Amino acid sequence: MENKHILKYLLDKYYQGKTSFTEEALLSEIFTIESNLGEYEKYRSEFLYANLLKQKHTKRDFTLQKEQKNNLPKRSLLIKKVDRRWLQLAASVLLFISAFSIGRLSISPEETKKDELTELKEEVKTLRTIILTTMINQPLASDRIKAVQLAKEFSNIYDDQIVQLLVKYLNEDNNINVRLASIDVLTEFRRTAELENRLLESLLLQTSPIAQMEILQLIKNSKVIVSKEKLREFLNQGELDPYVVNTAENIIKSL
Amino acid sequence: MKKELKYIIAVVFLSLSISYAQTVSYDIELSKPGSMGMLKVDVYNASIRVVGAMGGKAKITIIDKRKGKDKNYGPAEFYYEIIEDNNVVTILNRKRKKIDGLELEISIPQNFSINVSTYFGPKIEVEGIMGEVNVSGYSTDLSLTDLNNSVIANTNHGNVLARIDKFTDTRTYFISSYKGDIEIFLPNNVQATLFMDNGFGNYSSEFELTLDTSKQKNSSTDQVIRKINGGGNELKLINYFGEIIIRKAN
Repeated sequence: MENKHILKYLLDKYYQGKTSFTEEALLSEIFTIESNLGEYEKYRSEFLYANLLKQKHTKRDFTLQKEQKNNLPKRSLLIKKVDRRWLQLAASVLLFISAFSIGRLSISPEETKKDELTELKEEVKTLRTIILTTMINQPLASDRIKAVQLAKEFSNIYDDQIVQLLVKYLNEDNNINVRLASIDVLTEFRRTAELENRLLESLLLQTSPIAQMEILQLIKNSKVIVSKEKLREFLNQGELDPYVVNTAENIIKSL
Repeated sequence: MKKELKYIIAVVFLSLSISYAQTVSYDIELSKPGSMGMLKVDVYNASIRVVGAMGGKAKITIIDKRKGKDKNYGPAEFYYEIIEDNNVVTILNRKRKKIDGLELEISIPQNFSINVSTYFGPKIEVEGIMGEVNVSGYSTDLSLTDLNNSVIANTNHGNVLARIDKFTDTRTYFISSYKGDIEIFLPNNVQATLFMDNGFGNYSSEFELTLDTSKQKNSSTDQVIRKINGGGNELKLINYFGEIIIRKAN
């Protein structure tokens, strides 16, 4: 269950004291809206305080809204005053609620509404994309590895946006193991010429022999034909580990 | 006379050892004593030892054991920039030059997470840290003990020794070394699923390892998947030329 996975991820992070403001608000929102969360019900009370605080801002509080109505600034001023984090939060909450509905739909009698389901799955994908995009700046490598692993569930279809984000982790993360985790997830994706090209481009950027070897193994085991020129360009970089050189040369010979 | 001579020799040796290993220590006041925090170390040289301690203070000791030409590059304490900001203690290099004989001993509160890396430093030792342990080096041996949280460790040519006291489902465990050995100690009752990728090395285990028949084999990867005590959270171990040794803690 994808949604369960996200909730578990957020709760784990919360109890490690590592959740961001946005993520805590997401958790709070889930426990307010969802009535039956099964094994996660035991955590509900923990989030009550957050819910109470949030009620001050919810649209359902008509009384409060009425009282505040006369004091509202003009629309243009209001927009200026809105914190950007809140806009991001609102977008994330909407996506997350949609994502949660998938689980319910899949066991409801309306299962046949395939279009709706596809639409919601698309929203889950968007949520994953948001997580991948935002988590890249998290200070703890374990958070970034978890974010990368969330993309695994999209491996049965080739999604270029997700692949691009994974390659971004592979090329830019300062932790080698996060890079290796993204290679690990990329192995699960269907192999296309596009993916192979991205891997070859990435190979030119890697300085760690272990990352170079993992990419070369991936290319070697792929049935897609890759560019010999790119591999030669990689070999011309110099200062490579002898075994890395040997593996790249063997791939060139086999093409 | 003989007794006096002995004292003189002892004093000479003592003064020689003082000049040989010069030490400078800094006590670091934390912005939020008692709260969780982070240690970030990114230095070009130096062996690094990080110890988790009780209390809300951090202490950094720079030990200078340089010899020969390496002594000509000025006082060791000038090599490092030390910053504390909102319970994040950062140590950075001012000089990016290969110099042997420098050591950093760092004492931080136990509830800190650490992110420590060195390029030429021969060793990183970590003990008593309750937060996440994230270490990396190039030719660096890693010795990590009392691990209770996520462990992310990488070295290119060094060996890794990791003693995990508490292995739980919510943590991330990812250890890699290109040419070194990985020796890992796990609690006897651990439930873990090993993902091992060691192309030209070997692996051995004091635990009984069973096949994971539930996983679909991915043809793009050569990794071996094995379960300990029925399987559990992932423990990812990658090396190409070294040994992977799984040991029981007790």
